[in-house]
Amino acid sequence: MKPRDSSLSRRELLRLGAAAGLGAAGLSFVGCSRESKDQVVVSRPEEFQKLDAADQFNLVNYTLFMHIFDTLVELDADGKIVPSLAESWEVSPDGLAWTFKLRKGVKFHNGDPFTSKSVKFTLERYKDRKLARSTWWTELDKVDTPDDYTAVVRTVKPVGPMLSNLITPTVMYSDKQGEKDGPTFYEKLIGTGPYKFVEWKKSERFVMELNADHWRQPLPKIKRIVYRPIMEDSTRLAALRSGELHMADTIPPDQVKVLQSDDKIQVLRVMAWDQLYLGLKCDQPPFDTVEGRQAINYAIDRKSIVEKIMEGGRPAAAIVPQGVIGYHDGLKPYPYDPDKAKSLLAKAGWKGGSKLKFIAPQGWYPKIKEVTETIASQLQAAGMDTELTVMEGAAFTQARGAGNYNIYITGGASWDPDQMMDQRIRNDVFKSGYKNQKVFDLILEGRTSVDQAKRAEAYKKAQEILYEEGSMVWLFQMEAIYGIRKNLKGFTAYPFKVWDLRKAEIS
Amino acid sequence: MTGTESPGQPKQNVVEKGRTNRRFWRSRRAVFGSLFLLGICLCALFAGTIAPADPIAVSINNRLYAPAGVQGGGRYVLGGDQLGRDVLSRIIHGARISLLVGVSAALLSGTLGVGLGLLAGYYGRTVDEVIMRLADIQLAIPTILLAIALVGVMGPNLRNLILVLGITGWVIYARTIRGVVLSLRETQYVEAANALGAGDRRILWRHVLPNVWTPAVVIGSQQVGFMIILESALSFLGLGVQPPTPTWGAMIADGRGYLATAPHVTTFPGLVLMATVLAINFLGDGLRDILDPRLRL
Amino acid sequence: MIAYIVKRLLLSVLVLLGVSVVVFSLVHFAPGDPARLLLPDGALDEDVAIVRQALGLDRPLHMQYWVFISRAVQGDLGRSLYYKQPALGVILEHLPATILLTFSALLVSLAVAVPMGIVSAVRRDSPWDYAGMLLATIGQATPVYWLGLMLILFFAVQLRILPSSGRGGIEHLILPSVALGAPLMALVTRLVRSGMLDILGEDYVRTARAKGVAERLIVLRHALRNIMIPLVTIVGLQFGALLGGAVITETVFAWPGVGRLVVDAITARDYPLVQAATLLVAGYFVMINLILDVLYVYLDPRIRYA
Repeated sequence: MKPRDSSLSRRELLRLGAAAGLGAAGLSFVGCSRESKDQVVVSRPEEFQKLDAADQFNLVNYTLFMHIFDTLVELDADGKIVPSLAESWEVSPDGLAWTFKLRKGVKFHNGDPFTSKSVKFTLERYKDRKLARSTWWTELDKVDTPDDYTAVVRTVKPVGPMLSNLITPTVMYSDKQGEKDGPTFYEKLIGTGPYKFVEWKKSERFVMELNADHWRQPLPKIKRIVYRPIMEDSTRLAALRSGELHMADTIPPDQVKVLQSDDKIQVLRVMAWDQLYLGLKCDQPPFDTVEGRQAINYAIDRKSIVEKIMEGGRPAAAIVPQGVIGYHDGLKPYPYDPDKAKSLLAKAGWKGGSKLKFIAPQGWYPKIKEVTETIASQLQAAGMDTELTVMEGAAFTQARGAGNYNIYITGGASWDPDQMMDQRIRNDVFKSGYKNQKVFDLILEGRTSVDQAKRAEAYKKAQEILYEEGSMVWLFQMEAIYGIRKNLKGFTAYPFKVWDLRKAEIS
Repeated sequence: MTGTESPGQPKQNVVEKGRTNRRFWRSRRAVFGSLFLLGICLCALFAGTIAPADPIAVSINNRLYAPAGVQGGGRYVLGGDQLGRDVLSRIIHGARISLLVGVSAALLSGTLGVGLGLLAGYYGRTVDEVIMRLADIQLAIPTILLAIALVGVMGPNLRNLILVLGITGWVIYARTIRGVVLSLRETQYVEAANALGAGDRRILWRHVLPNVWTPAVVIGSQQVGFMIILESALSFLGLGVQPPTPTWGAMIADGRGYLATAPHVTTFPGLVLMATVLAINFLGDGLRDILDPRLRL
Repeated sequence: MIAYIVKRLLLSVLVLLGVSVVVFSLVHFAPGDPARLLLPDGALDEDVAIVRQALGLDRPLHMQYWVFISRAVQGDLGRSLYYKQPALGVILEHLPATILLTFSALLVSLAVAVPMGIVSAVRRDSPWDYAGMLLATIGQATPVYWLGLMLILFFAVQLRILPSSGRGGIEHLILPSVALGAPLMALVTRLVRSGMLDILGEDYVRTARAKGVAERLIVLRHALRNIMIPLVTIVGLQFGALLGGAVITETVFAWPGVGRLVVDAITARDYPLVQAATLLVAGYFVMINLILDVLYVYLDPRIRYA
């Protein structure tokens, strides 16, 4: 190339550089506050979702809302329902009316009083079927407010899980604020809770500050809570180890050793009410026979998956985990018996030859790839060849919802048996094709009895039948592992994967 | 750039040929590059016989087995991965698939890109404009979106992965080739050929194509490595090959969680990947040295 | 020149239209139903249908596209299904972070690559050269996320001198910029080296040296000018790659940028957000391209456009 007689080139280079530099400098940096005793920074690999408590189902939202809002009742650390904004309650003999006596003198962050009208406003919103949590309230008729501190929730049919449905995320909103601010009133996040909402920078952080006027004494000790979503496991752990976080949620089991060797960090393991299971397509071989379904139960070595891969948790037997109403302690996880599996398969008439479609959601659960690959190899050893596809999440929900599988893997987290059994078994939302009217009736009974003992009995009976012939192969209960810096004391983690900083402090 | 010989003619001179070969062998890089790649190709071809263990058999008792020489290790030379499979065997088998992905994707995007670049540069004006705007559209669409959509609709398998990688890579060829053709267009011999009445296609084939062949090969050789890395990025996002297929990219992505506890799971495939890309680059440099040392791309 | 710019601007509009059509099709053809994803895992089909209808997702595709594009030209880019807020607002909250990251990665890589390439060329085949080339290859061959994680482990956990993640002051920008800029740095180093070698052998350089002009001046003036065109080309192309690579860097470093936003939006099938974001990013990219193409003409007037 012939040389050109101009000094443009250097100028251009400088111009390019200057433009880049100006571009970088001209944009404002966001300063972040330094660590202090009054501020706690925590992280989970999940983003805070939409602002409307009635329209989401995300555990981070539940957790943060629990600090900003109050609910009528709460679960304590042992899983028992205890009063919160409702001091006492009773249910009518026909089960159609729940009367709640409300706490007096509670104010919202903007000064609005908490009254029965707030309860009415909050609950009657759920009639809008577009809201994600409206399915818990399909039997709601209306809420009567005989006086300021009594709310009567009326339903068209008895609702067994009523109290379970009233814990988080069913937070109480101010009716006055709702009227004043219109349909997007929830965006202001005004509640009655011990913390006030400060700011939400999407994907970056969610900040809350202590509400000094909270009704519950003693007040929490931590003045400011910052939540930072960090998706990448290694990064989140690094932030914990470097001191940038006080608590990191969802620690992968293999990293536990690394944390334990650090004397400033402790590891908290909580057996969660979250179990992983395989869903079977019951209208196609080999799972269209009871023998086929039992075969796959025997073919899986749950113990070694729990010990070697998950390094925590325990094998599961049925849909209701220990600690939740309806738990059946007589049902034990299927033992690992590949020979029995083979003989059952033979009885089912399965000769092999074709591959079973095994779908899994990518990234939803830790170690999903390892678990499914191991299961696939165990199934193959027992005579069931599978074609494993770890699909992108949305594609997975599509395939699962359409019944486009032989086997799928999914988890289920809940604090009331109705939440999973009604939808996944009685309504068969995943199109497994499993039908057993007796089981359906038992589930319906559980949903419509307000007598909690009766509910428990119904669920236990249902599980006994499902154990023999159900469409779900229960794998194991998962452990939630938290990494906590030792100077954060009083951190509470509930079994339904929500944590609580209201009693915590930095020492 | 135009020497006294016409670039379209192969180097007939015997002395010239000897000099060419000698230049290649003198370049230490090119030699190292080709030898290493030869080794990788052998691995790819004879993976079944070379690999000491089954790359797919899950053995959860051997999870994260330390490599030989490290305390606790021994069974597997390079250690076991997160499901107890031999890392070395997976690397050897992975050579086959990673190379397949890299080369196929580079070929696909290369063919597409060179073709479009030729058309754009030679015919100019509207054709050029249209193709360059297509390039803009292509570049503006996130690869990930393309990957998810294509993989989602057609299924997550190797063929679709190659398709996605191939479709996203054509622009760099097209733009460079177009630039080369644009400059060539003005030179004397093309004008002469035109004056002599040679048709477009003949000019393209005999005079233009041989000149773009060199930069295309150089870019292509770089792109192979790039495609393998891109496969790794897609694996990181969960859009790569399905388990239990071993590719270097998937091994690096899947093993990254163990960087602090069992670094051998990601590091060994990572080192092999790096060495392969290095070798490809050296070979590309060497090729360029022979084909046209004055062509610097 | 003016006529050229005007023509390019008009064509840019066409390009953006093309992008919007392609993205719209892609995102709608990808399997998965956003309505289902907006509801809890075991939602009933009737509820999914209700949400679908409320969001207008049951209307025919061409109608949905028409609604989108006709509102877009008026400035209304739709509402994000996920955040239930205007898509434009959500994107603008995230865009500055990505632009900041991309530019600083560019700066870092150029600042390292250009001198390294020059040194490599001037001292060809020396240990310097080999070291430079090795570094370049490592930068090119290492997956960005792996490099990022290594940097975090070393600087944030072991040494504790830099933060591991998140956005904040300059100290938060360093590691992500290095990780993101590494592949580009590698490419540019090799480019600069090649270009320099090309020039250093030319006749006119020998003449200049014979005339006694200081060597440094020769190097800077003639050689840099020679590589400007390919450099500008590659940088322009790599911009797109940087934006794409930003996704991974943003994930690893929890950097709240638009790359990660788009991936999450794609995962959640948040159609309006994906469409709006790609349109905006495409617009930004097309603009950068236009600037670079104009620069191109400045640098070498032999390349004329009819």
